[in-house]
Amino acid sequence: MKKEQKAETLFCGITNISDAVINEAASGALPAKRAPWVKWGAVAACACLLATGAFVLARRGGTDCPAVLQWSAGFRPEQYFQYNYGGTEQGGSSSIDSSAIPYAQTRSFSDARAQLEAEGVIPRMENHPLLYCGAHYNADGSFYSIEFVWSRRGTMDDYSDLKVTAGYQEVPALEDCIYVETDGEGNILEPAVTVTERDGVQIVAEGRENRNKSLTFETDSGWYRIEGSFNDGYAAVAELLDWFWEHPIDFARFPIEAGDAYDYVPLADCPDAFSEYLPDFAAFGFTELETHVTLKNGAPVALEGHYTTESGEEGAERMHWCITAEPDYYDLERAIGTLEALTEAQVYDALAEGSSVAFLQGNCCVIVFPQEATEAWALIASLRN
Amino acid sequence: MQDSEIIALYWQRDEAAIAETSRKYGAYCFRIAGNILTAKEDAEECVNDAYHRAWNAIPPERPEHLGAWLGRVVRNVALGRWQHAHARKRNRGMTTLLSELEDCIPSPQNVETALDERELGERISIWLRSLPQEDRILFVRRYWYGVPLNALAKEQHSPPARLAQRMYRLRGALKAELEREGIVL
Repeated sequence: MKKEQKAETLFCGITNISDAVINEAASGALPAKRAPWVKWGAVAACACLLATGAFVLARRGGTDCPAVLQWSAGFRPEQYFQYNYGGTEQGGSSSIDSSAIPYAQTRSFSDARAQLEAEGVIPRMENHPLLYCGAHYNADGSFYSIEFVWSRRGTMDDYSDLKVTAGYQEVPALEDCIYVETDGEGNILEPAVTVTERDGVQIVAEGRENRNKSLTFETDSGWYRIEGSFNDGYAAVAELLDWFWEHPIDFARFPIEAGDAYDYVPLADCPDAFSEYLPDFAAFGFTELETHVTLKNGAPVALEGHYTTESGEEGAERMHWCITAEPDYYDLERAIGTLEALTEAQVYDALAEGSSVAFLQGNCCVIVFPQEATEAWALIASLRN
Repeated sequence: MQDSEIIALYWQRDEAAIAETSRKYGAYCFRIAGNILTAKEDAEECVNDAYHRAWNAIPPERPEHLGAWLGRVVRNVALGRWQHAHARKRNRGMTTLLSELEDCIPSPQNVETALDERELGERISIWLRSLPQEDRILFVRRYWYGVPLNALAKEQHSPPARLAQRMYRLRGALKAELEREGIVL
């Protein structure tokens, strides 16, 4: 075998190293050493990470960046992305260790959607059934950043994820902490960006049609990054830009004590959680592999259990049982009925069409992913006894 | 979205699975493909191929760690693309990686064991676990994720030349280990 073929064999061998080793190195988080710019602190660094991947390129001058466009009334959404015909989805800030989460705590404000809409904090997005709103805080409880994600699911054509991330940290020494990607010969690879000046503020656009796209800018009130998925058009992203341009976020509106705290613990830590909702898996020959409970402000709101059987392949999951006391729009949409009214035929039909069956049990929605429909029905039926 | 939810979409044959995969792992896959293939158009096609392979493979597969599993698919697709002669000319990333890996090829031994790729992966994993964490991460960043040396030097805040020496020693250590195990490629 030629040397090159042997190297290819080795390449394939390395491809098959263990998941644990791969995941450990995923972020590039090497122990110990710190970069000189760490003196600015994690806050500044991650403000860069979140907000300004391309800012440095826009501001640096003397590069190949296209000229800055001037915004005016009638500026079309696609013009923000005018020069982004090439490039990739990679941001310029990829070298910053994204696993080193700069904030210490997160609180959810997702439940406050109606109120936030009524107060004019966020726009009404009637075609997006899901909203996630999470605010991040430093260790001392001070505000770090906030993100809003509006989602719509369905077919590929009906898919949408629109996201706004914002914060008000100062972003010093941008050029120190942004990693500019280089090729094998050390040449700088410029991401394709378009820069538009609007009311004296530079807006940096990354992405293009059929790609993720983003608009990033920094005003006196803070920095904002507005993102759309590959399936979201320029107009959807630009509409969000216009909204937050006119309605800057008052970050004081989101104090840590007002948000919901979520935690994720093993069932052993709260053994009574959903006990009246769970079938007696052991009686049906199932052994628990792993079960976790989601706590909201300390109270259980969801459970996810994985079970196997002795007859199956060792350690292989045969039953995945999910319970949520906070079903979202799509959970409710997929539920085929209540536990009391459910029939064997309905369960079998649902599992013939897909890999799961969802139903309502009391105030909860239960979603079951079984290997065998018969096993699922046996467990579901036992809940009615 | 959790990995288990994405995998459930694949099992349901719901095309949103690909969209969710792209959303969560698109940049990750593209980075691996881009590191290996260098040419952007090849990397983009490689990632799209990987998504289609994922669609065809799940079910019956149910990956435990979707990210690592997708990364493997990307690497396999990337190798296939690079093997096409026309792609070799424009993808220096893979050429450089393979030429470095030639340093790890064990010399012929008296008692030799030929391993398949999965067994070889397991042996390399065992060797990696015996390394200090920093060396292990460096090796995997370079030869699994394909991170270019100068970018790795930047991550490590180390001069590229010093890092290159360190990588050379690591390749030598792997070669010695494979020879000690009597493994032939």
